[in-house]
Amino acid sequence: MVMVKVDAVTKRFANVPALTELSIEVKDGEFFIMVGPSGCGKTTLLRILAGLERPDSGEVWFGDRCVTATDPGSREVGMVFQNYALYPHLSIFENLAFGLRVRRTNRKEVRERVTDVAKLLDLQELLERKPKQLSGGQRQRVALGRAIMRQPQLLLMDEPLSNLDAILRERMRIELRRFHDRLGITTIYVTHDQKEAVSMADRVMVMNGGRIEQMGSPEEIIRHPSTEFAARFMGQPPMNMWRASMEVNATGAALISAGSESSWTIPGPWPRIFIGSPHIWLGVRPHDLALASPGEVADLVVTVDVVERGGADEVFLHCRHRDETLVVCVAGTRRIPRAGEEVGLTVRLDRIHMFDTDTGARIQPLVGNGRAAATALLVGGELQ
Amino acid sequence: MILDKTERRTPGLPNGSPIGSAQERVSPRVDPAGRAAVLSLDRSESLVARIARPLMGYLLVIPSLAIFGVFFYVPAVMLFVLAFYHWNVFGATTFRGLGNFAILFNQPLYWQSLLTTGYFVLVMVPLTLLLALALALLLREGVRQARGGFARSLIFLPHVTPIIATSIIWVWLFNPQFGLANFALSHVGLPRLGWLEDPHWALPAVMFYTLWHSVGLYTVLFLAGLSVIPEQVVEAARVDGARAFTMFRRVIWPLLSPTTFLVMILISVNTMQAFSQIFALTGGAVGRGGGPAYSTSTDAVLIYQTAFTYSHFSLAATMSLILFVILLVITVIQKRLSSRWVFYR
Repeated sequence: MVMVKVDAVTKRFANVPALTELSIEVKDGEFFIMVGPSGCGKTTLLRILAGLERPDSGEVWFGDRCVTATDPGSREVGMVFQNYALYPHLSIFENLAFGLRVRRTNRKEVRERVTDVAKLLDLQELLERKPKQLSGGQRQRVALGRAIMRQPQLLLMDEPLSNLDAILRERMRIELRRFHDRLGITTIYVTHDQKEAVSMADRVMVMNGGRIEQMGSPEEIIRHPSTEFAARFMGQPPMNMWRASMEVNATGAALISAGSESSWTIPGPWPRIFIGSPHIWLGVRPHDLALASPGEVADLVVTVDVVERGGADEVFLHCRHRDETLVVCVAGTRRIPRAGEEVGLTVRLDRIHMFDTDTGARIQPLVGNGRAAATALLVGGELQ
Repeated sequence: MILDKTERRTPGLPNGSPIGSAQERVSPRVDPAGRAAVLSLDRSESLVARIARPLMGYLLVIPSLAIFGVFFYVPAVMLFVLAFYHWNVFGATTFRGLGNFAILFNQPLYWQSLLTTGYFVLVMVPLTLLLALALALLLREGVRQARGGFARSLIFLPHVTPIIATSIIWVWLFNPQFGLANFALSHVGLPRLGWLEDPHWALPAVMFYTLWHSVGLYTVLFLAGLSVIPEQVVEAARVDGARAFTMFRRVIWPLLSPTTFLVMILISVNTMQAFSQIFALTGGAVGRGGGPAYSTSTDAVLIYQTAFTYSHFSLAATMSLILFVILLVITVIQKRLSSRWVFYR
């Protein structure tokens, strides 16, 4: 069942387009995350969903109700703001009760509902305090409590974790996801942090310049980014991307020369449109590169620039390959090359990504849809 | 729990000491290393430098202190002393104790001036406050727009005009025969009024002018107060379902209360001391200030006339002292009451 439908919404601010003909569908109970750099329109879309902005054209549907022109208070949505936006003059109890008081709910019910929500979010001890007397994490919980107070059908969150310190943010990510799973409220969440998107979402929408770059599950976007932008934006550390040339031979296989010693052959069949204009973006995730074992043929030979410890057993090698820089992720247990050392790398050819340098679109093999093509790639890679 | 943490951070004090935890809450973190560094820096300073530094501060304050002293503090103290004396400009000055107060309290005109002042203040405070607030709320949307600046200037403009000059213009506007005020009244079918020449309408005319002259200042203060109300809090209330009236009563008004309180005090003080416009509008220049029939004779006008028309300087000083005490008492009462309705963030 489709819970939220945004249909061809366009919004401009002083003639600068913020959203262009954007359509999405969010399913009932889904945790949907919109991610993108600042100014990509994600917050504008969230505000349109809340009713705080009106779209210039297009429609917004909640279930079978068209809410495009409905005011925020009648939409039955809860919203968590970036800086919490608690009512500074009211106690935590009154902060939670505000929405009910506005609707003249009777005292007994207000007390019951506030008590329930306070218990759910572990706020019982704080009800008499003012927002100022609370820590960032506590305020965050109050903001969340206020948002679910009226039992909304839809929960909107605008970068709710960006004001918290790193450790708390880490913890709140898990808390929020657990909270969502317990209540099952459809949640639309905005963030600029791809890590939050990957770790919490059922489905992610990557946005850029008021348009959708890609929509799908986090795994799908990480594994098969459909545009160069999505590829660069999602994943940590970011995907290595450099210019390469691609030729398709008589059998339909792609010959890719990445400025490396030998060209790589990837079975196709690939579209032949690139014969004339062979330049592409070649993308490889740091985890898909490895140090070549002794005796193994290296796909790339690079010079180590900086060795960065990523944690207990991960090391990131920042390397130079001619004019390009690239990052390699290696297990910390093995011998780590030193800076300045020249090392050979192997590339998991079944996991390389290719994008059109003009349009940024992913270059797909000719057979079937993207998923089938990916399988073909995988098989091809193993055959090599 | 928060309390536990604060107690742990104050090892010098007994556990649960209310003083310790209160201090901790006020000054969040005192870095002992940082404090030590400052102390050692002080010790390394030469004796001369240690004396010269505060001296320099006093030196810099002297010019302003001198001007303030000569024109404000000294006269203020002299006024308080004078209130208990009889000062004859040409003869001997004699101590009179509370004699001046006795004279004043037996003088019906003095009581009447206090009543007139009270009436003026009681009408002006709510009237100015509400009008300024209403204008500010109307202009608020415009603040973010380029054209809003024009409307704001237009409303603020009267306040920067000299009171005497604009009062004289308003004397003409209020002229019963050919003034703009009566012209406007007759146009909407209302009877013409005597305005400044009519004992019933002179004070309202003064109020009208005062409102025109001062409302811009308070509007700008309210606009400043509105501008610091966080936009997201207002939006949160919208999502919570608050409409215009609820929004104002439960979000805007409480968050604006420090400004409202400030504006209230300013209007009370300014109207209680109002002098220039009353004097100029009612013909003070030709010896008729406070008229007609003492209908606009407020305390401040009467003080001026007592001192400079009748040369009873000590009596005027006594009146000033009483006005000062009244203002002080009212301000203290307002401040006390404010804790019940003013919310400071």
